Amino acid sequence: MKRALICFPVLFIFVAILSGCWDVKDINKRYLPVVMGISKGQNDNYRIILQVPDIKGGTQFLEGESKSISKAVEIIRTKAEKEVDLMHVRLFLISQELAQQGIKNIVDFAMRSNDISIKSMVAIVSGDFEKTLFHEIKRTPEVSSYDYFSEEAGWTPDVSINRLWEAYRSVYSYTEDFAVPLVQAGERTLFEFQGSAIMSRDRMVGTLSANETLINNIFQERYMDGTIELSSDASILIKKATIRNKARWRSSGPNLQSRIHLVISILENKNEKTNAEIALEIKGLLEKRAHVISDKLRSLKADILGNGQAFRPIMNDQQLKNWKETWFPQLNHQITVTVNVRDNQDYKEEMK
Amino acid sequence: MTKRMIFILFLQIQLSAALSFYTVGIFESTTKGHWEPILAGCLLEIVFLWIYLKGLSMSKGKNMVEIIKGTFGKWGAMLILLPFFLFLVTHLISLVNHQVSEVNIILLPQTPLWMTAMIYVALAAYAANKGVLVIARMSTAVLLLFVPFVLFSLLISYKNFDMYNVFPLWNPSFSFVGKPSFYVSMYAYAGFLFLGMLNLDKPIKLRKMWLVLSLVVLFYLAVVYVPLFVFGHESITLLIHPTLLASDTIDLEWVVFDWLPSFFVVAASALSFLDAAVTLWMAILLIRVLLFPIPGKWLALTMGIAVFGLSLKIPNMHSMNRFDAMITFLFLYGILVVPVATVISSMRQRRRQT
Repeated sequence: MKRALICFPVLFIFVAILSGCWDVKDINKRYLPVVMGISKGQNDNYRIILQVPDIKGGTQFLEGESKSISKAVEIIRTKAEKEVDLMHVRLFLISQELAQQGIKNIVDFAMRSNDISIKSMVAIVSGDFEKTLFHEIKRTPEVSSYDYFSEEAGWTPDVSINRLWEAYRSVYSYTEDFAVPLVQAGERTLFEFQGSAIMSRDRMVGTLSANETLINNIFQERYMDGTIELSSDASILIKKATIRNKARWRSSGPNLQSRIHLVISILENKNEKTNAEIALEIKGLLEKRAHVISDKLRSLKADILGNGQAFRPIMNDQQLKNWKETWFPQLNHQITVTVNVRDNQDYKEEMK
Repeated sequence: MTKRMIFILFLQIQLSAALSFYTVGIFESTTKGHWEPILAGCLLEIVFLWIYLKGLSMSKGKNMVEIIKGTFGKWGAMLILLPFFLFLVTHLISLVNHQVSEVNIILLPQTPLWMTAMIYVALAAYAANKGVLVIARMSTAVLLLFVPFVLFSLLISYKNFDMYNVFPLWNPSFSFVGKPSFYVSMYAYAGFLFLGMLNLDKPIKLRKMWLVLSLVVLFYLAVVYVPLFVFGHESITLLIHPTLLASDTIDLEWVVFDWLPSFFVVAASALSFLDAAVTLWMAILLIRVLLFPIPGKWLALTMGIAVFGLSLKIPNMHSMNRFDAMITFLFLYGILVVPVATVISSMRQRRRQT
């Protein structure tokens, strides 16, 4: 009895302390932004725009400008009536101008801070940054801008996808660069996809079109049901793409053979070609496209296909460190595509 | 206490060490061939575990302190075991600080550090006071409740693995031997020392432990290689919680909780708290056998307050890292000298008897 009299209050104090209810801020006293826009300010280095969804389905905008990102966020906090909580930021929109100067600082800020999720997505806004950021579409309260990039929602293989941790990995990696989706404000939808920005280390050095992004996604084996058009008489659906890389280091320099194997299904076939003809055509088309991209990337010194990864087992320390600078531009890259036409959906193969 | 419970406790103490700053030490000690320092450390542990068990099996029913005391006398034993005692206390301080700072950074940024540290030390002191039997029983519950989360967090990011990040696989120069970080990370191989404090009538045999030991090696490899697969070495060296962040890279909409690392932190805290309880229990036992047999609860209380006070004396991560580097020789002493002293004492006693 005496024991219980002592133990009970002690346990009760623990309940009070451990419930985590001290200096709590209620959820209706917080702004929970989902999108963070970062552009170059008029006077200072960074201008931050936060998109906060409200209950009525609209969006509220918060702005701040300063020399550092965290100070700009702090300025927003001072201005705002409620606590600004970055925990739910899911999308970073970076202006093209800033991306061309390098995004390492932004990636470092977001990785370092413990309240920003490293799963958030990164995209670059081309054209008018403010128009895209302040863009709202009416009568669709369910739409949130990061759904556009989410593999569980509106993502399609023509769009590149880049998460914060992937950007972080590639900024520091010796052997890999990355592609970031390039968007601008859409007419009736939130965004219109413009292709991908090619990043070399942390700088944007060029762009890939939507069609070229698809090839990049095949190389990343990030593939779910993408459609390819063939010279106006057929279009196919890619069911599965696998890629095999064979890296060799010859006396002339690095040499990479990539074999892409596609499993496809035919969606439209206006001129009643045979499956073999279509397979051959697809093979020719993709090989040509892939070689064009590969050449382009080498001239930009941006290894976004991750070719260097395949050379990691055979490179020594010095070669590893100099991959992006010295060896990647000298790479000899051969790409072969093999195609397996799995079916013609509900039609038979011979249509005559 | 059955053998199985001992093995479960052993496994979890090792796992707790692996989930603390072990990974960072390994990534600092080498840029390639990460399996080399891991396996070298595990091999060292297994060799000295074998020596330790050999020494213990020669004098059944006694613990390591009694064995050493029997041969070298009270003062000799105190001299031999003083660094070991210091190791236990400093290890405890380091454990508290690392866990509390991890909880503070990841889980509770608003809660003051001393509050988390106080609860942590109080729980460990309570468990240590109850004795190793209670801790071992609790470890079985922890195994069922928390270790699945650790496995889940480790394996959930498999989708983001890029196997090429493992390369270069071979480091012919074994340069990690010259790196201080390698020795700092060696605290993780000291988890077997509690086996000598148990007063077992039937000694543990090493060949019965193969399953547990291979699980330990697998875990040690996994906590290093999972983040390596995800991030690659160049970027991972900047992070202080690589394993934890690796578990955060996956976006699963079907998991109700958005913030998966919180599971990881909670599980790691539960495991490290087991480690702290066992360490404190060992320190109390040492004092009671060698110095004065005062009741355990007063010792647990004073040591708890002392550890709490000392851990508050370390103001930042920088001094924390310096502290870890400073105590390196203490746990090396624990791993190397204590098993050898045990086996020598046992052999002398046997010779004296015959």
